[in-house]
Amino acid sequence: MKSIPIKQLCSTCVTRRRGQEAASKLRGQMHVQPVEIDLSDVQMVSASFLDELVCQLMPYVGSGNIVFRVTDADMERKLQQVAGIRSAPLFCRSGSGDIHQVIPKSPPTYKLTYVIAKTPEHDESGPPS
Amino acid sequence: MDLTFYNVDQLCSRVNLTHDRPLIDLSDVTFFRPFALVYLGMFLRYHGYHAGRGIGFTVQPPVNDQARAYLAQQNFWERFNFDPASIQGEKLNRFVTSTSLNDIVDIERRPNIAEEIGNEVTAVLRNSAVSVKVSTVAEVMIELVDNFAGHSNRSLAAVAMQYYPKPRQVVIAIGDCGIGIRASLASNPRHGYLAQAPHYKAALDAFEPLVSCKSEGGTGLTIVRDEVANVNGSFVLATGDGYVKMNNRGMIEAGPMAYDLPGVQMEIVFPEEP
Repeated sequence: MKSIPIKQLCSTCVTRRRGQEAASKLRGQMHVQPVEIDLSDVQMVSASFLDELVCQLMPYVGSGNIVFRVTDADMERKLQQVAGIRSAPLFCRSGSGDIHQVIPKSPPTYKLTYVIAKTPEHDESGPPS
Repeated sequence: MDLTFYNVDQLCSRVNLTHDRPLIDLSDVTFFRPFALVYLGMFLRYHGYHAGRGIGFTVQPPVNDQARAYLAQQNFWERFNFDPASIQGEKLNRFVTSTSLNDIVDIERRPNIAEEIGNEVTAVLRNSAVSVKVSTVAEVMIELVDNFAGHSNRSLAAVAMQYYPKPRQVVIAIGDCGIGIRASLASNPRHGYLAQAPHYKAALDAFEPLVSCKSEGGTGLTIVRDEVANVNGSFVLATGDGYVKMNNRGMIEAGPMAYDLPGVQMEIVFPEEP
């Protein structure tokens, strides 16, 4: 499998713009499949960046020809978010472990109330004393 | 009196904008929460210049020494009573360079602004002894700055960041006086129905996955909500005359603001890790 460090595709891994930039460079390299996108050597990867990357590469992602290499649980959690929101079958490899399908995670459910006049909650922290 | 999300809209609603020099009475204010600072700043900026009226405000400054000094330190009146289209570059540079955790800065819409602000936030937090999850704070800030740059249709926004040692929390606030969430979403035919909906309804929808002005759908505010909930944080967001609030237990509340201020203003609280 061909492994491509994400740093070769874009200068940072935050914002949709960078996700688009990375995806357009990756498309040119998809003649050899499958491809591993190596996210392990970057300090920060935002969920928006991943979402845009996945959206732009959906035809390849959907056919399982892209694997994301991650090193920490937080990065896999973001992949789970994107998989849940986009209903995309994503695959990843943690460290040197086996390739596995990311478990899609739907956004949590939040309890919602409508109010007429907003009031501070008692447990809210106030200003510094 | 603390000026916060809970009363700054009421203060703005009492300002008589038909006067030549409307009065803003801050005499009783002893503490400015970042949301209130940004909201009041956007109120001044919108009515001062964006509406093309050139209003000059008369300000009754805080009697409290600390509160008055705080506004002076932030260049508050000069910052928000100027025309962003005509300000000199040198002066703007002074306003956009963050030096500490307790600064307010202006941000200009340009292609890499979200990354720049994200880098600054990361550097400031890493150089301090604050034990928040830096990557989460930076990512949330990047999403919000990107939202401003992509959706507000305005050239300038403001960001404030504060650290409070007693409640042990980092608080960020960001605001613009652009078109706001409702108009932005309604520009997408799929969400056109929101044009007639209350502002808070549009704001609530904006937190749902794939609800965006873009046809492919977006995830920006969904990510912000989930990342803040993930670190037991909280937020308040105002847009037009509506608001959405999430407390640190993940309970969301929505309703009307007392004042209809264009744009989006938001404050997020990140508690320090134990």
